[in-house]
Amino acid sequence: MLVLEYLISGLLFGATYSLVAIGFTLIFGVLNRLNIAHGATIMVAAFAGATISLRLGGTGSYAVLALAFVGSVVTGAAIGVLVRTVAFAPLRNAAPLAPFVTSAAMAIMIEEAFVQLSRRVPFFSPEFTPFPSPLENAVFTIGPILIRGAHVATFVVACLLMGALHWWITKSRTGRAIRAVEENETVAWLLGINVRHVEITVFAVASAVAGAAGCLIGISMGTVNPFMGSSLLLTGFVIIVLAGLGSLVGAMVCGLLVGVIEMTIVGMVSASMKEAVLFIILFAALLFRPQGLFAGPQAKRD
Amino acid sequence: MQIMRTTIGNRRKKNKYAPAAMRYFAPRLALALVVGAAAPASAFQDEGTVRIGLLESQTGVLSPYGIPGLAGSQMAIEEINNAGGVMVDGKKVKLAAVPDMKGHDPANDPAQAIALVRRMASDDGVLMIKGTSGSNLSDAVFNYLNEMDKQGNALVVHTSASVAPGLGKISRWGFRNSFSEVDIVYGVAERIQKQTGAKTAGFYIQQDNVYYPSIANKAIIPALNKLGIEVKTVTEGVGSDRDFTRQVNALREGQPDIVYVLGQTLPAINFLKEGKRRGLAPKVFIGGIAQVTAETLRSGAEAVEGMVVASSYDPQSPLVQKFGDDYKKRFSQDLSPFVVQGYEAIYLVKDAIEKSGIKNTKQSLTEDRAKFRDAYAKASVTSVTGEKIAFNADRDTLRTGVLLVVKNGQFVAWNPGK
Repeated sequence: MLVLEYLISGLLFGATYSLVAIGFTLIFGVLNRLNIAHGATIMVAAFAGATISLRLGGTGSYAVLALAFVGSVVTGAAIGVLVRTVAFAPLRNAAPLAPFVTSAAMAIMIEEAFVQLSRRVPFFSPEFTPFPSPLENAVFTIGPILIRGAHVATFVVACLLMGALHWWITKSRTGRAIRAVEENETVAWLLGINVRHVEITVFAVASAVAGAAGCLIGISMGTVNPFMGSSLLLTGFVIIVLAGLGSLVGAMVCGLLVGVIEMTIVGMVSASMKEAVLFIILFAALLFRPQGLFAGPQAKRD
Repeated sequence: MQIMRTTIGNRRKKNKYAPAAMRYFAPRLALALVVGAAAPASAFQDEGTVRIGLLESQTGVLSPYGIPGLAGSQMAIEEINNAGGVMVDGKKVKLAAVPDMKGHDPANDPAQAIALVRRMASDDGVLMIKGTSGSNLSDAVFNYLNEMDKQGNALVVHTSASVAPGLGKISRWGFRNSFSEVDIVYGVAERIQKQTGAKTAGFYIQQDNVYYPSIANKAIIPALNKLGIEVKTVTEGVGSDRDFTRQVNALREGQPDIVYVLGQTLPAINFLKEGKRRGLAPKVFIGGIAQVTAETLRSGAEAVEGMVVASSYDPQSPLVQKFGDDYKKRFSQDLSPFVVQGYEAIYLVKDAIEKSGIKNTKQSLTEDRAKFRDAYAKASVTSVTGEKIAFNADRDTLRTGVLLVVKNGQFVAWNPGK
């Protein structure tokens, strides 16, 4: 029964990993560059949500929780646009590794800024800052299986977001423009698509999704800390490699899969095995299906 | 060559502010480098200071203990310096913190802690070091002190936050004024048995910190056996655990009367939260000194209510409250035992410096460190709690301790009868 409980919890919580990976892969799809500051964006957005919840007494109020979620999403979008402006836009014609380095530098600076903030702002704590929510003690029991309310809420919100995002990418005019830029930037430009505008939109949306993920993870964990983004970045990276770089549906499915595997390993064995197992999965994927589980033949780039 | 010249020329045109910026920054940078290289940090008798190294974890899992410990030490250094300093060789000199009042941060990395000790001992010429912030680090550093001792260049390292049993015995240069829970384990178990009628016990033990399995196996379990309390369930985890379903379910099956929570602040909080969600309800949860932090109350909230912990002081006592008010004014944070111990440690240092007869010169440094060690072993102060603090033969400071309980989001003295 315990295994079943871990499988369900992992599936529910894995939806946040899907959100992390979607943001990551969306930016990669358009720019063909990895945004290493994506983890830092998640962390800052989570802090924004935690701050709103702490200041407005989020323990007993769903309205405050909703406000914290909106705060996280907006903060995520703002940080994403900032990252694009500082770390990507000036390096459009630079070597492919250049934005990798600049975004990594930004991630380190943001992380360090929050380490210092955590020590200096009285309502933050140096090691971990609480993220109070009314879902903290909510539980559902199905026979002997106990499911956390926070995990259920996380799953529902994440699925709604993923559905909306999928519709936006496949059906909306902007979504079509994004896919056109993904396919061939030059042709998209010749067709009259404003590539710069598409880039800004993608960064804002991908980072807003990351912000949502940060908030949901903060609610599930009950705390946020300046280093939470680094470990999520690693998880996100494993997911997009497993799914196939640039595959949105793959990121959604593989996020859930990684959530299930991780939760089961952590619960049944130990949290210290988590990273090792993730890398074994990554290694196996690279060995047997290097293009990823969901990548089509057009995934090859440059 | 032509291409290169063109490129440079273009670059100059583009960076029109560069020459002005260079004109502004270059002389200042050069001056800073020259001054920095030529002038040694202000220290030693002729400069009117005595160097004290500060080595406290300010990031990572040990930060809930390192940051308050550092703050307490900073407070004491400021007080002492504002009062004129310490008397050395007939002259009042100030305490100079190395590298500065913020100290070095080894996080939770023993190798980094050793490297910083080596650097402060050899390059910075400190008389002694106040640190580290956890048993894992102190264990490594104290063992390294023995190596330094063989080479004739050891120095006193004093920790105010490392509580693992036997740490003080590792090196004659390693001291601590941490609250030694191991000395009161039997008394605590006896009192809890008397108050709750407990017959069975269970454990959550964080395995990746040397302290917790050590105190469980060497002190608590033998004490419970002696009292006739059966240990029914022992569950284990690591510091990075976020899910405690397995541990809580195992303890629920055993239904022990008391549950010991032996882990650092965050895993202990998350364990208790999972326990609350799953209805784990022993007669009492027993935490340790690692739980007596502001973070436990803030992040633990309802889940930590009713937990009993052993602490070095009663926060409600007037002396402690006065000190706590001063501390809050200065640092905008709530008091914890690690602040008190960090503060006391510097006064122990002051006492030893003044009694050691050191010369405090570069030439006498090795001799001074040995003299300081001998004086430090005999140093004593009256704590802010009113208790007299002095080292025993194992370089530990023994305290009577007090049992606290979390009640309405605060630590208060545990008086279950009242």
